[in-house]
Amino acid sequence: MKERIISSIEGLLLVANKELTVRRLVEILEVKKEDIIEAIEALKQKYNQKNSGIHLTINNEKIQFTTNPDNTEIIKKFLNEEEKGELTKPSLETLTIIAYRQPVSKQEIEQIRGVNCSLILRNLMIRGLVEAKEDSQKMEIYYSVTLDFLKYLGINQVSELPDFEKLNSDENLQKLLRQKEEGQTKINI
Amino acid sequence: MYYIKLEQFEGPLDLLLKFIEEEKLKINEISLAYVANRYLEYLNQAKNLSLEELVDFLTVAAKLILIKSRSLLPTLIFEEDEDNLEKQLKIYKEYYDASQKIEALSRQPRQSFCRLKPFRPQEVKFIPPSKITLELFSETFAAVLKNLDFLQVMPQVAMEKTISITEKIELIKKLILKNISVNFKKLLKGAKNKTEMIVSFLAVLELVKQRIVIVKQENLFEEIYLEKNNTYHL
Repeated sequence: MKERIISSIEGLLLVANKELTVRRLVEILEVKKEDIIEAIEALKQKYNQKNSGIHLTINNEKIQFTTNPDNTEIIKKFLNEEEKGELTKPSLETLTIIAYRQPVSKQEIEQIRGVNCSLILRNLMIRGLVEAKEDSQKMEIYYSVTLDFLKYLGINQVSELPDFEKLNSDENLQKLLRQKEEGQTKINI
Repeated sequence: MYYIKLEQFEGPLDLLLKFIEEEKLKINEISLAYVANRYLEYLNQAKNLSLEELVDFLTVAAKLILIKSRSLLPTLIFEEDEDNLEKQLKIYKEYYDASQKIEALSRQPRQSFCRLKPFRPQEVKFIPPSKITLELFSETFAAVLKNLDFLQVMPQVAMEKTISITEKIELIKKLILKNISVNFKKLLKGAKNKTEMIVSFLAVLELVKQRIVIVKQENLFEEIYLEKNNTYHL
Protein backbone atom coordinates (compact mmCIF):
# COMPACT_ATOMS: atom_id res chain seq x y z
CA MET A 1 0.00 0.00 0.00
CA LYS A 2 2.75 2.43 0.93
CA GLU A 3 4.57 1.67 -2.32
CA ARG A 4 1.40 2.49 -4.25
CA ILE A 5 1.15 5.87 -2.56
CA ILE A 6 4.79 6.65 -3.21
CA SER A 7 4.52 5.55 -6.79
CA SER A 8 1.33 7.55 -7.37
CA ILE A 9 2.80 10.73 -6.01
CA GLU A 10 5.87 10.17 -8.14
CA GLY A 11 3.68 9.95 -11.22
CA LEU A 12 1.71 13.03 -10.30
CA LEU A 13 4.90 14.98 -9.73
CA LEU A 14 5.96 14.13 -13.24
CA VAL A 15 2.84 15.34 -14.98
CA ALA A 16 1.96 18.29 -12.80
CA ASN A 17 3.00 21.60 -14.26
CA LYS A 18 2.89 23.36 -10.93
CA GLU A 19 3.48 22.52 -7.27
CA LEU A 20 1.35 19.83 -5.65
CA THR A 21 -0.22 20.55 -2.30
CA VAL A 22 -0.46 17.94 0.41
CA ARG A 23 -4.15 18.74 0.67
CA ARG A 24 -4.75 17.95 -3.00
CA LEU A 25 -2.81 14.71 -2.69
CA VAL A 26 -4.94 13.66 0.26
CA GLU A 27 -8.04 14.36 -1.86
CA ILE A 28 -6.91 12.53 -4.94
CA LEU A 29 -5.33 9.51 -3.31
CA GLU A 30 -7.96 9.29 -0.58
CA VAL A 31 -5.50 8.52 2.17
CA LYS A 32 -4.56 10.18 5.44
CA LYS A 33 -2.29 13.19 5.61
CA GLU A 34 0.29 11.23 7.64
CA ASP A 35 0.58 8.72 4.81
CA ILE A 36 1.25 11.45 2.31
CA ILE A 37 3.89 13.06 4.54
CA GLU A 38 5.57 9.68 4.97
CA ALA A 39 5.57 9.07 1.23
CA ILE A 40 7.03 12.49 0.59
CA GLU A 41 9.82 11.73 3.03
CA ALA A 42 10.58 8.51 1.15
CA LEU A 43 10.64 10.34 -2.17
CA LYS A 44 12.90 12.96 -0.69
CA GLN A 45 15.38 10.27 0.36
CA LYS A 46 15.24 8.75 -3.10
CA TYR A 47 15.65 11.88 -5.16
CA ASN A 48 17.66 14.40 -3.19
CA GLN A 49 20.99 12.78 -3.91
CA LYS A 50 23.99 14.16 -5.70
CA ASN A 51 23.63 11.83 -8.67
CA SER A 52 19.95 12.36 -9.20
CA GLY A 53 19.10 14.83 -11.92
CA ILE A 54 15.66 15.21 -10.45
CA HIS A 55 15.22 16.65 -6.96
CA LEU A 56 12.18 17.07 -4.78
CA THR A 57 11.66 20.56 -3.40
CA ILE A 58 9.41 20.87 -0.36
CA ASN A 59 8.00 23.99 1.26
CA ASN A 60 4.93 24.77 3.31
CA GLU A 61 3.22 21.46 2.53
CA LYS A 62 3.75 21.87 -1.19
CA ILE A 63 6.06 19.77 -3.33
CA GLN A 64 7.50 19.93 -6.80
CA PHE A 65 10.03 18.10 -8.94
CA THR A 66 12.95 20.36 -9.71
CA THR A 67 16.25 19.99 -11.46
CA ASN A 68 19.45 19.25 -9.57
CA PRO A 69 21.16 22.64 -9.11
CA ASP A 70 24.41 21.01 -10.20
CA ASN A 71 22.97 21.10 -13.69
CA THR A 72 22.14 24.80 -13.68
CA GLU A 73 24.31 25.81 -16.65
CA ILE A 74 23.07 23.12 -19.01
CA ILE A 75 19.46 23.72 -18.18
CA LYS A 76 19.79 27.46 -18.45
CA LYS A 77 21.29 26.98 -21.86
CA PHE A 78 18.44 24.73 -22.88
CA LEU A 79 15.77 27.10 -21.61
CA ASN A 80 17.55 30.26 -22.69
CA GLU A 81 16.73 31.52 -19.25
CA GLU A 82 17.17 35.24 -18.56
CA GLU A 83 18.99 36.56 -15.52
CA LYS A 84 16.62 37.34 -12.67
CA GLY A 85 16.76 40.79 -11.12
CA GLU A 86 18.97 41.45 -8.12
CA LEU A 87 17.45 41.93 -4.71
CA THR A 88 17.95 45.17 -2.78
CA LYS A 89 19.49 45.04 0.68
CA PRO A 90 16.25 45.63 2.63
CA SER A 91 14.42 43.09 0.48
CA LEU A 92 17.18 40.58 1.12
CA GLU A 93 17.06 41.16 4.87
CA THR A 94 13.29 40.82 4.97
CA LEU A 95 13.45 37.69 2.84
CA THR A 96 16.08 36.24 5.16
CA ILE A 97 13.97 36.76 8.23
CA ILE A 98 10.97 35.16 6.55
CA ALA A 99 12.98 32.20 5.25
CA TYR A 100 14.40 31.38 8.67
CA ARG A 101 11.30 32.01 10.70
CA GLN A 102 8.36 31.16 8.50
CA PRO A 103 5.49 31.44 8.95
CA VAL A 104 6.13 34.83 10.42
CA SER A 105 3.96 37.88 11.03
CA LYS A 106 4.68 41.36 9.74
CA GLN A 107 5.00 42.56 13.31
CA GLU A 108 7.75 40.07 14.08
CA ILE A 109 9.63 41.02 10.94
CA GLU A 110 9.45 44.69 11.86
CA GLN A 111 10.58 43.98 15.42
CA ILE A 112 13.74 42.41 14.07
CA ARG A 113 14.48 44.92 11.34
CA GLY A 114 13.39 47.97 13.26
CA VAL A 115 11.64 49.54 10.27
CA ASN A 116 8.34 49.28 8.50
CA CYS A 117 8.32 46.70 5.73
CA SER A 118 4.88 46.92 4.11
CA LEU A 119 6.15 47.98 0.71
CA ILE A 120 8.95 45.45 0.73
CA LEU A 121 6.51 42.64 1.49
CA ARG A 122 4.31 43.71 -1.36
CA ASN A 123 7.21 43.73 -3.79
CA LEU A 124 8.42 40.35 -2.65
CA MET A 125 4.94 38.94 -3.15
CA ILE A 126 4.68 40.48 -6.59
CA ARG A 127 7.96 38.82 -7.49
CA GLY A 128 6.60 35.51 -6.30
CA LEU A 129 9.27 35.04 -3.64
CA VAL A 130 6.94 35.39 -0.66
CA GLU A 131 3.39 34.28 -0.04
CA ALA A 132 0.87 35.37 2.56
CA LYS A 133 -1.68 33.29 4.39
CA GLU A 134 -4.22 34.40 6.95
CA ASP A 135 -4.51 32.53 10.21
CA SER A 136 -8.23 32.85 10.81
CA GLN A 137 -7.90 31.98 14.49
CA LYS A 138 -5.35 34.64 15.25
CA MET A 139 -6.76 37.07 12.67
CA GLU A 140 -3.24 37.71 11.52
CA ILE A 141 -1.42 37.33 8.22
CA TYR A 142 1.64 35.10 8.14
CA TYR A 143 4.36 35.23 5.52
CA SER A 144 6.43 32.40 4.08
CA VAL A 145 8.86 32.04 1.23
CA THR A 146 7.71 30.27 -1.92
CA LEU A 147 9.03 27.29 -3.80
CA ASP A 148 10.26 29.78 -6.39
CA PHE A 149 12.51 31.30 -3.76
CA LEU A 150 14.03 27.90 -2.98
CA LYS A 151 14.58 27.27 -6.67
CA TYR A 152 16.22 30.68 -6.95
CA LEU A 153 18.76 29.66 -4.33
CA GLY A 154 19.09 26.11 -5.56
CA ILE A 155 18.05 24.47 -2.30
CA ASN A 156 15.36 21.89 -1.61
CA GLN A 157 14.08 23.00 1.78
CA VAL A 158 14.48 26.02 4.06
CA SER A 159 16.24 23.78 6.57
CA GLU A 160 19.15 23.66 4.13
CA LEU A 161 19.86 27.35 4.73
CA PRO A 162 23.14 28.09 6.56
CA ASP A 163 22.80 28.06 10.38
CA PHE A 164 19.13 27.20 10.10
CA GLU A 165 18.73 25.57 13.52
CA LYS A 166 20.50 28.39 15.29
CA LEU A 167 18.53 31.25 13.73
CA ASN A 168 15.27 29.39 13.80
CA SER A 169 15.30 29.17 17.57
CA ASP A 170 17.48 32.06 18.60
CA GLU A 171 17.39 32.43 22.36
CA ASN A 172 17.59 36.20 22.24
CA LEU A 173 14.72 36.35 19.81
CA GLN A 174 12.51 34.17 21.98
CA LYS A 175 13.13 36.43 24.93
CA LEU A 176 12.52 39.60 22.98
CA LEU A 177 9.29 38.23 21.57
CA ARG A 178 8.08 37.10 24.95
CA GLN A 179 8.70 40.58 26.31
CA LYS A 180 6.62 42.12 23.56
CA GLU A 181 3.83 39.63 24.15
CA GLU A 182 3.78 40.39 27.84
CA GLY A 183 3.77 44.09 27.12
CA GLN A 184 0.74 43.68 24.91
CA THR A 185 -1.17 41.60 27.44
CA LYS A 186 -0.78 44.38 29.95
CA ILE A 187 -2.34 46.86 27.57
CA ASN A 188 -5.29 44.60 26.85
CA ILE A 189 -6.07 44.18 30.51
CA MET B 1 33.26 65.53 10.83
CA TYR B 2 32.50 62.20 9.26
CA TYR B 3 29.78 62.28 6.63
CA ILE B 4 27.83 59.21 5.57
CA LYS B 5 25.44 59.08 2.67
CA LEU B 6 21.89 58.41 3.77
CA GLU B 7 21.10 56.12 0.86
CA GLN B 8 23.37 53.35 2.12
CA PHE B 9 21.35 52.83 5.26
CA GLU B 10 17.97 51.25 5.40
CA GLY B 11 17.10 51.99 8.97
CA PRO B 12 18.33 52.99 12.41
CA LEU B 13 19.55 49.52 13.35
CA ASP B 14 21.54 49.28 10.17
CA LEU B 15 23.17 52.63 10.91
CA LEU B 16 23.85 51.78 14.54
CA LEU B 17 25.41 48.47 13.62
CA LYS B 18 27.70 50.20 11.16
CA PHE B 19 28.91 52.65 13.82
CA ILE B 20 29.60 49.90 16.32
CA GLU B 21 31.41 47.72 13.81
CA GLU B 22 33.51 50.61 12.60
CA GLU B 23 34.78 51.11 16.12
CA LYS B 24 35.44 47.36 16.24
CA LEU B 25 33.29 47.06 19.34
CA LYS B 26 30.97 44.35 20.58
CA ILE B 27 27.32 45.15 21.03
CA ASN B 28 26.67 46.10 24.63
CA GLU B 29 25.53 49.03 26.75
CA ILE B 30 28.97 50.61 26.76
CA SER B 31 29.43 50.58 23.02
CA LEU B 32 25.90 51.83 22.49
CA ALA B 33 26.52 54.75 24.83
CA TYR B 34 29.78 55.40 23.03
CA VAL B 35 28.26 55.67 19.56
CA ALA B 36 25.17 57.58 20.73
CA ASN B 37 26.78 60.92 19.89
CA ARG B 38 27.72 59.90 16.39
CA TYR B 39 24.22 58.61 15.78
CA LEU B 40 22.65 61.85 16.97
CA GLU B 41 25.07 63.95 14.94
CA TYR B 42 24.18 61.94 11.90
CA LEU B 43 20.48 62.29 12.53
CA ASN B 44 20.90 66.04 12.90
CA GLN B 45 22.30 66.44 9.45
CA ALA B 46 20.09 63.91 7.65
CA LYS B 47 17.81 65.83 5.35
CA ASN B 48 16.11 63.24 3.20
CA LEU B 49 14.16 61.26 5.76
CA SER B 50 10.46 60.74 5.26
CA LEU B 51 8.16 61.11 8.25
CA GLU B 52 7.79 57.35 8.75
CA GLU B 53 11.52 56.81 8.58
CA LEU B 54 12.09 59.68 10.97
CA VAL B 55 9.86 58.04 13.56
CA ASP B 56 11.91 54.86 13.47
CA PHE B 57 15.18 56.79 13.70
CA LEU B 58 13.91 58.91 16.57
CA THR B 59 12.73 55.88 18.55
CA VAL B 60 16.21 54.45 18.45
CA ALA B 61 17.69 57.87 19.23
CA ALA B 62 15.55 58.05 22.36
CA LYS B 63 16.70 54.59 23.47
CA LEU B 64 20.32 55.57 22.89
CA ILE B 65 19.97 58.73 24.95
CA LEU B 66 18.47 56.62 27.73
CA ILE B 67 21.39 54.24 27.64
CA LYS B 68 23.88 57.08 27.56
CA SER B 69 22.16 58.79 30.49
CA ARG B 70 22.40 55.65 32.50
CA SER B 71 26.08 55.35 31.77
CA LEU B 72 26.58 58.91 33.05
CA LEU B 73 24.34 58.45 36.08
CA PRO B 74 24.72 54.86 37.18
CA THR B 75 22.52 55.36 40.22
CA LEU B 76 19.50 56.26 38.14
CA ILE B 77 16.79 53.63 38.16
CA PHE B 78 14.55 53.02 35.19
CA GLU B 79 11.25 51.14 35.10
CA GLU B 80 11.28 49.68 31.62
CA ASP B 81 13.44 46.75 30.62
CA GLU B 82 16.57 48.48 29.56
CA ASP B 83 18.19 45.76 27.49
CA ASN B 84 15.77 46.17 24.66
CA LEU B 85 17.99 48.02 22.23
CA GLU B 86 21.01 45.88 22.96
CA LYS B 87 19.08 42.66 22.42
CA GLN B 88 17.33 44.04 19.39
CA LEU B 89 20.59 45.03 17.78
CA LYS B 90 22.13 41.63 18.50
CA ILE B 91 19.23 39.84 16.91
CA TYR B 92 19.28 42.19 13.97
CA LYS B 93 22.96 41.45 13.48
CA GLU B 94 22.28 37.70 13.39
CA TYR B 95 19.82 38.13 10.57
CA TYR B 96 21.95 40.68 8.81
CA ASP B 97 24.83 38.18 8.76
CA ALA B 98 22.47 35.48 7.57
CA SER B 99 21.22 37.68 4.77
CA GLN B 100 24.80 38.09 3.59
CA LYS B 101 25.08 34.30 3.43
CA ILE B 102 21.86 34.07 1.48
CA GLU B 103 23.09 36.70 -0.90
CA ALA B 104 26.26 34.70 -1.44
CA LEU B 105 24.07 31.68 -2.15
CA SER B 106 22.01 33.62 -4.66
CA ARG B 107 25.13 34.77 -6.46
CA GLN B 108 26.28 31.22 -7.01
CA PRO B 109 25.19 29.84 -10.34
CA ARG B 110 23.01 27.20 -8.69
CA GLN B 111 19.33 27.17 -9.44
CA SER B 112 16.60 24.62 -9.81
CA PHE B 113 14.05 24.56 -12.56
CA CYS B 114 10.71 22.86 -12.91
CA ARG B 115 8.33 21.77 -15.58
CA LEU B 116 7.05 24.73 -17.50
CA LYS B 117 3.43 25.26 -18.32
CA PRO B 118 2.95 24.02 -21.88
CA PHE B 119 2.05 26.71 -24.34
CA ARG B 120 -1.27 25.85 -25.89
CA PRO B 121 -2.54 28.36 -28.40
CA GLN B 122 -6.27 28.50 -27.89
CA GLU B 123 -9.13 30.58 -29.03
CA VAL B 124 -9.93 33.17 -26.43
CA LYS B 125 -12.78 31.95 -24.24
CA PHE B 126 -14.13 33.12 -20.96
CA ILE B 127 -14.24 30.16 -18.58
CA PRO B 128 -15.09 31.35 -15.09
CA PRO B 129 -14.38 29.06 -12.13
CA SER B 130 -17.54 27.26 -11.02
CA LYS B 131 -17.70 28.58 -7.47
CA ILE B 132 -17.64 32.26 -8.26
CA THR B 133 -20.48 34.36 -6.94
CA LEU B 134 -21.04 38.08 -6.82
CA GLU B 135 -20.54 38.03 -3.05
CA LEU B 136 -17.20 36.30 -3.43
CA PHE B 137 -16.03 39.01 -5.80
CA SER B 138 -16.95 41.85 -3.49
CA GLU B 139 -15.54 40.07 -0.42
CA THR B 140 -12.27 39.43 -2.20
CA PHE B 141 -11.97 42.99 -3.35
CA ALA B 142 -12.78 44.29 0.12
CA ALA B 143 -9.98 42.11 1.48
CA VAL B 144 -7.55 43.49 -1.10
CA LEU B 145 -8.50 47.04 -0.15
CA LYS B 146 -8.04 46.25 3.53
CA ASN B 147 -4.51 45.08 2.87
CA LEU B 148 -3.74 48.43 1.30
CA ASP B 149 -4.50 50.24 4.54
CA PHE B 150 -0.89 51.09 5.12
CA LEU B 151 -0.91 53.37 2.09
CA GLN B 152 -3.39 55.70 3.75
CA VAL B 153 -2.21 59.20 4.40
CA MET B 154 -1.85 60.01 8.07
CA PRO B 155 -4.53 62.36 9.46
CA GLN B 156 -3.34 65.93 9.44
CA VAL B 157 -3.60 67.90 12.63
CA ALA B 158 -2.95 71.58 12.92
CA MET B 159 -0.37 72.21 15.59
CA GLU B 160 0.42 75.48 17.26
CA LYS B 161 3.74 76.91 16.34
CA THR B 162 5.90 76.75 19.44
CA ILE B 163 9.06 78.66 19.80
CA SER B 164 12.16 76.54 19.31
CA ILE B 165 15.20 76.43 21.54
CA THR B 166 17.34 77.87 18.77
CA GLU B 167 15.00 80.84 18.47
CA LYS B 168 15.03 81.36 22.23
CA ILE B 169 18.79 81.21 22.33
CA GLU B 170 19.01 83.95 19.72
CA LEU B 171 16.46 86.03 21.64
CA ILE B 172 18.36 85.76 24.90
CA LYS B 173 21.64 86.52 23.20
CA LYS B 174 20.16 89.71 21.77
CA LEU B 175 18.79 90.67 25.19
CA ILE B 176 22.15 90.16 26.80
CA LEU B 177 23.84 92.28 24.18
CA LYS B 178 21.38 95.11 24.80
CA ASN B 179 21.29 94.97 28.60
CA ILE B 180 24.34 93.92 30.53
CA SER B 181 22.26 91.80 32.85
CA VAL B 182 18.90 90.11 32.45
CA ASN B 183 16.59 89.08 35.25
CA PHE B 184 15.69 85.41 34.84
CA LYS B 185 12.22 85.80 36.34
CA LYS B 186 11.43 88.62 33.91
CA LEU B 187 12.58 86.37 31.09
CA LEU B 188 10.17 83.65 32.12
CA LYS B 189 7.33 86.12 32.61
CA GLY B 190 7.33 86.76 28.89
CA ALA B 191 6.49 83.13 28.19
CA LYS B 192 3.00 82.46 26.85
CA ASN B 193 2.71 78.92 28.19
CA LYS B 194 4.53 76.25 30.16
CA THR B 195 6.26 74.89 27.07
CA GLU B 196 7.77 78.27 26.34
CA MET B 197 9.02 78.53 29.92
CA ILE B 198 10.71 75.14 29.62
CA VAL B 199 12.24 76.18 26.32
CA SER B 200 13.59 79.36 27.92
CA PHE B 201 15.12 77.35 30.73
CA LEU B 202 16.74 74.92 28.30
CA ALA B 203 18.03 77.85 26.25
CA VAL B 204 19.68 79.33 29.32
CA LEU B 205 21.28 75.97 30.18
CA GLU B 206 22.63 75.69 26.66
CA LEU B 207 24.00 79.23 26.73
CA VAL B 208 25.72 78.50 30.02
CA LYS B 209 27.17 75.29 28.59
CA GLN B 210 28.47 77.21 25.59
CA ARG B 211 29.96 79.74 28.06
CA ILE B 212 28.20 82.65 26.40
CA VAL B 213 26.27 83.51 29.54
CA ILE B 214 27.08 83.49 33.23
CA VAL B 215 24.37 83.02 35.81
CA LYS B 216 24.58 84.91 39.08
CA GLN B 217 22.59 84.61 42.29
CA GLU B 218 23.54 86.40 45.49
CA ASN B 219 21.79 84.13 47.93
CA LEU B 220 19.48 81.15 47.97
CA PHE B 221 16.08 81.88 46.48
CA GLU B 222 17.03 85.40 45.48
CA GLU B 223 16.79 86.84 41.98
CA ILE B 224 18.83 85.15 39.28
CA TYR B 225 20.65 87.28 36.76
CA LEU B 226 22.03 86.33 33.40
CA GLU B 227 25.13 88.19 32.30
CA LYS B 228 27.28 88.19 29.27
CA ASN B 229 30.43 86.17 29.71
CA ASN B 230 33.09 88.69 28.76
CA THR B 231 35.80 86.13 28.27
CA TYR B 232 34.01 84.94 25.16
CA HIS B 233 32.70 87.04 22.30
CA LEU B 234 29.05 86.75 21.32
